[in-house]
Amino acid sequence: MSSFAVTPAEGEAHPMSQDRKVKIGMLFYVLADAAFVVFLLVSYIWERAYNTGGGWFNFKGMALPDDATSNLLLALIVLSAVAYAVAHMGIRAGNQGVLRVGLAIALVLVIVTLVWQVRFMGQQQFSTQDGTFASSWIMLNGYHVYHLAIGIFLGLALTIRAFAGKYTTERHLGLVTVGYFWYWMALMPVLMWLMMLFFPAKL
Amino acid sequence: MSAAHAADTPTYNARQLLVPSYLTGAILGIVGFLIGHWYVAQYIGVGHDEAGPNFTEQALVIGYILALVGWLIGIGAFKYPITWLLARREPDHEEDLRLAGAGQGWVRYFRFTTDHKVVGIQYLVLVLIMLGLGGLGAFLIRSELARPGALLYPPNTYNTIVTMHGMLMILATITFFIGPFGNFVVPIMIGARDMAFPRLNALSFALLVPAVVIFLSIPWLGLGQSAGTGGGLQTGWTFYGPIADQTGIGATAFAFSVLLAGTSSILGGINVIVTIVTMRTRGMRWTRLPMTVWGIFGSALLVAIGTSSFTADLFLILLDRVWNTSFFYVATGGNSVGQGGGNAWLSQNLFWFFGHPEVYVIVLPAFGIVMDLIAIFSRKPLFGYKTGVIGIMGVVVLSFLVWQHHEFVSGWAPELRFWYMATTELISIPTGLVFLVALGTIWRGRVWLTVPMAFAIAFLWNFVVGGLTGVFLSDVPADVQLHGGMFVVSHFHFTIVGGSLMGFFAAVYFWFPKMTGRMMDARLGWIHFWLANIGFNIAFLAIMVAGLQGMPRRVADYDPVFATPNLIASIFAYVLIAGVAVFFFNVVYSWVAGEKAAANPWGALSLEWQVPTPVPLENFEQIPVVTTGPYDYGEPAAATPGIEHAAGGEVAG
Repeated sequence: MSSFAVTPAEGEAHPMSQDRKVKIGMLFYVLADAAFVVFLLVSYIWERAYNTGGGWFNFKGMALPDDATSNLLLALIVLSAVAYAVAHMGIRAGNQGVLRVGLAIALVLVIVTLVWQVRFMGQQQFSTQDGTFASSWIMLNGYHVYHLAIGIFLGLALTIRAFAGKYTTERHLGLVTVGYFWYWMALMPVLMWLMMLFFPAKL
Repeated sequence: MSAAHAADTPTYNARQLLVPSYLTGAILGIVGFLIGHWYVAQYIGVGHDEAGPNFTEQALVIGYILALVGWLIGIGAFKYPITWLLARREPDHEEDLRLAGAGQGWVRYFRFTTDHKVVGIQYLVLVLIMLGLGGLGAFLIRSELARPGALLYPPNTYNTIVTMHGMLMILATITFFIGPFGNFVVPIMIGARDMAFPRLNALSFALLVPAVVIFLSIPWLGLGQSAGTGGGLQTGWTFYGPIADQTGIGATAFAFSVLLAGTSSILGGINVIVTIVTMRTRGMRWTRLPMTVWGIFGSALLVAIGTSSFTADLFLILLDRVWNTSFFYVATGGNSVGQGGGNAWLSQNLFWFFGHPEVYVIVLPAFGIVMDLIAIFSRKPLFGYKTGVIGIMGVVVLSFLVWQHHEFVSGWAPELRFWYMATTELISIPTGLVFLVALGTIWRGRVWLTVPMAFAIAFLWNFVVGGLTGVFLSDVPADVQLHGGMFVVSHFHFTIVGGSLMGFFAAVYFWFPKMTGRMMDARLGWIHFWLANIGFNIAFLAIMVAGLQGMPRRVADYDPVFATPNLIASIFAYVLIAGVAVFFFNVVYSWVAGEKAAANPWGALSLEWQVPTPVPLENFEQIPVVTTGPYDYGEPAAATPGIEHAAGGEVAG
């Protein structure tokens, strides 16, 4: 006997839609990236906890990263996520204008965050060679910069496509799936902020 | 190819076939490397104060990054993302067919091709090359260890060979189920036309190729420089920081290439998971999935979630080496390359959090394949389908809770030893369920002893030895005695070589007819089987004896008291290698001149055997609807080996 039967009338469609496939794929990508970030955050906590040989931070009179700038950068990226959500709500309501403006604002905010973030990293008095706090801080912020760069590529594509009229109320899968990444891109610095709150640089 | 698709098949001239292809990818990759290396040398290196002690590392990494970009441009991987970015029109059916390799003959195997079957063959060939080179490393290791005081090569060269052998084999074995079979077989088994993300699938393979090329360059990097900081790589496959921070430039190539391979594995794993979750045809319930699919699904879950800890470890090592960070540099106060303060236990934990599940990444697909083959060749329904699934998924969950047993002697967190000993011993329960299912299926079956069935049975025997020795090692007092010795080497090889590699051989003999349209030569197969299993068992039992006598591992020379078991081990390792050489010959010979295969030479019931050979471009004329499970053996039509089934039972050729 054969293990299957072919029924031509209903044979072609898969049980799950193309949309669901792409959404699940993007969720797993974000999950894998989040797992990577979790291990990077754990590395910070681990190095701080062990403080091997007193090597956590070789202050030598150097200042720690400025909290006000860190908070402002965090606010910018969170605002970008809010703008993205507004754009998404706009297209769901059939409003192309809200979609385009929302995406453009979200993109501009990420670009500003990236430029400011890189500048902020360059302004620090410590370098990668100044103990494990400096190493961890630069590494985590560097990975955030990598996220922002990817975000700019994706945001640029979405904005171009939005202005080309590619999205409708019924069809805006790219917006939904890139959204998973976008919100994760904003969530990572929130996690970093929380980590610095509970495990501050000063021992 | 189906009639419908034959009419659509595009035709090409030579230029269209060559641009883009792996040839143009290789050319642009080399150009990219040279530009990156030159840029660092010109603007950061010679004559510039910024050039740090690790300028060479920086030049290498920037060169690798640009080589990767050049390679991806050269093979055409960026074409679709750029099209999407610029909101141009979506690819039409003809472009999809071209990307899938339709009408391109053998050239499609050297292009960025989306057809899952082509990608499966690409993986198979690459994995065989990696296994061959890793096997060459095994030959060199056993030659060195055949007699005490032999010293065929300097100790540093020996260390490099051990490192290369270890990681190359790990990369090959992590890939050798999900790559060839996860790609070629799984979509057909679940009734899908392709993988969920065909371009991502092609990209996964395309990332692995430069990873392997860079990895193979390691022994030649830094030649002529002093030992320790110069040529080769002295770390062993575990690549712990801070040893990896302090060894020669080969470590930078190692970190970059394995990071790349890890990324490839994660993307491939996600693709397999989404394919199985979302692409199952109507009627292919979770309770009707063949065990092979369950095994590969479990393995892909571990890859997608667990690999991140290992890639994080490699990432931090790379930063230590290239940008003077101090994640693993321990010494503090004025170190010339960093201030230190790093912690070595961090590296060990990041490594083993993935390192132990990685064993199950390699083994779980073999569990599934062996259960499948035993049901098929015993001509019986699988004994305890749900029990087998619980066994596989139980291992998936527990595998993340055992890693600390690798650090029983490291000094880290001794208070956790008891708990990790308990969880490690606990994992033998789901593993035991898989064996229960396999043995229960053979019991009173009408066993058809083919070469793949023989390898499936060999898997059971060898893995029992590997598993039981693993229970000894999970026991803290025994582990403290045995951890640094050859007993561990024997245990590990019984699980990976005796277990998974035998499962891989079983899978190759079993699916070779579907993948190539030709049967593998059975006589050569039996020669391979006996040489490999006799050679393997005696060689690694001898190594086990040496370990129990107290012989340490990771040494190029040893006390003469261990001479006898080592001589026996080397002689029988040569027998094993001879057997594997027969296998390689058999693959090439059968692929070129083997007997043409029927569509379903084994009389199996799963979907891949119900389609014609060679498999059409999109697998099915019409997507099938599954009405029964894959193990309904014992029915009259399934009782006789070699029968042709009604649907799609065409003979090739």
